Amino acid sequence: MPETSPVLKPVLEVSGLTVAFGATTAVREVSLTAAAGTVTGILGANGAGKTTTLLGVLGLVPRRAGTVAFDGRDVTALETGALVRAGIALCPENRRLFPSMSIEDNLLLGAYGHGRKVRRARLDRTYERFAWLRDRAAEPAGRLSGGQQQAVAIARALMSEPRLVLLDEPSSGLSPVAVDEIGELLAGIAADGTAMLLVEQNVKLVQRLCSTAYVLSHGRVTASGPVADLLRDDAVSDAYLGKAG
Amino acid sequence: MIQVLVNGVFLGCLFAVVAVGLTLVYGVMEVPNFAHAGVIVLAAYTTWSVEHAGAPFVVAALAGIACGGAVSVLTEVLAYRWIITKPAAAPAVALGLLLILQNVALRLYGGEGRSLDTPYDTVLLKAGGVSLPGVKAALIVLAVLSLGALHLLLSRTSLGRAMRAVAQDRDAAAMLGIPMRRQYALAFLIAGMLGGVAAVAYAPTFQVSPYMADDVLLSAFVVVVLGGLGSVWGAVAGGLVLGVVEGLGAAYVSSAYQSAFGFLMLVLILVLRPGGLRTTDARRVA
Repeated sequence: MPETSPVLKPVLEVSGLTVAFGATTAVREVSLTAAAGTVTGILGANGAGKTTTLLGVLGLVPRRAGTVAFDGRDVTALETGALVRAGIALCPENRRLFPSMSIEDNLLLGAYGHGRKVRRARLDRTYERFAWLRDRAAEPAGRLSGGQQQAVAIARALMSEPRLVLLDEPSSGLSPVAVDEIGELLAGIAADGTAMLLVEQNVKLVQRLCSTAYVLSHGRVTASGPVADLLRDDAVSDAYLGKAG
Repeated sequence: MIQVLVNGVFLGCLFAVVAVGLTLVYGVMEVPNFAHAGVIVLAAYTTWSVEHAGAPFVVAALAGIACGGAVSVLTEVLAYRWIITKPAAAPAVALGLLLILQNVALRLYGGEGRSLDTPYDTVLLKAGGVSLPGVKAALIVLAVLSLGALHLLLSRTSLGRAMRAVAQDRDAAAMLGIPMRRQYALAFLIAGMLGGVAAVAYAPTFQVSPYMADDVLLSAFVVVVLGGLGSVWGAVAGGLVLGVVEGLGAAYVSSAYQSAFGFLMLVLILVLRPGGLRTTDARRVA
């Protein structure tokens, strides 16, 4: 399991994030950090506010309070497009590819807002990393298997060349083999220096990738620290993660 | 028979140009844009006004197309944008906008019909026993050019790619940082300019009046349903099919029931293929 380095400077610093939909508060005063080259987990039961926290970081849901700092700069007021261009990418739950559009079109959408040359260069780099995508570039993304679609979703997120990737349940609906492959891919991306914030129910994947994690319950952070310590806590392990199998 | 088919193609091209504007807006914003008829009316009057002021027809036509785009964007910015989270309100707002635009035309120009003159009024193309007036030929050419340009925009450009993405999954597109408001405005701009093209192309065969686009709008909605909601190429195919069916019905049964053939076909299609001629597994604008 990866070790945390105490000297790593956070790429992302979320402080007191509160998200509310009308009278319903989904996330309350959540504070967390994510450092370059590490994967930080966000754990919790269904409805705990994990996905909403990720969406709140990217300004996709109404933030009632709190600040978001990226690379030491307060980006709370920036719109989603500006945050993506600044270097934050989201790989959403259930992939959310555009199924009738080609794989290449899906990838290019990840670099929306950049010029033609930049998009082309990034596409070439993506094809170097995901060689099999080049041969299937013209195929509709909806034809791919779940694991392949997840790889395309990650590749699409990387098309913005982010320094922080927000990952929401990347193992959802995938076979164990595909989960292993996605885990290897994510470990490689982190090793390249990219910070990742990972919402995940798969304990094995969390253990493999995450150095530290935050546990959310009813929209609040109830525990945080090294993943190994959190998983040793029976209350946390049983209530939020299930038994690691 | 060929003459009937050619006339059907003329009608089909008109329906297609109007229907593509409707389906583009529906695909991106899920709005049944009845106000499109009002946009066509104001575009036609603008063309007439500019020509009447002494400008060449080409300048007047460009002014009409620009007016269509501008008025259409205004409807989005001033009305539709504010009800994006209240889709149930969209039909009522759309009908209200149509009445407003028609009454603006009525107020500015009165209810009297105006005729739009074109440099090709007297042209008559003939080939192998088939004849085609210049105004109809111009409409077919304009329809092919504008729909071809739209195809290139949607398939080859970053803006078009983003528009297709928004039509398929608005939330997923927003997660990629695609600015929704810009996409909505762009869809309305393109739809309005297509409405302007339709106005410039078919006004010479009818008369410019505040209610000139009502029947065309109804037929275009039939086309949108036939082609599958949100499908641009479905709208093109649906337009041509409806045009030819109405043309055949008018020629071989009775021209008094020309529109009825289209609606009869709509009923049959909805019974046999509820998803339209081109059933898609996802909403799209391509």
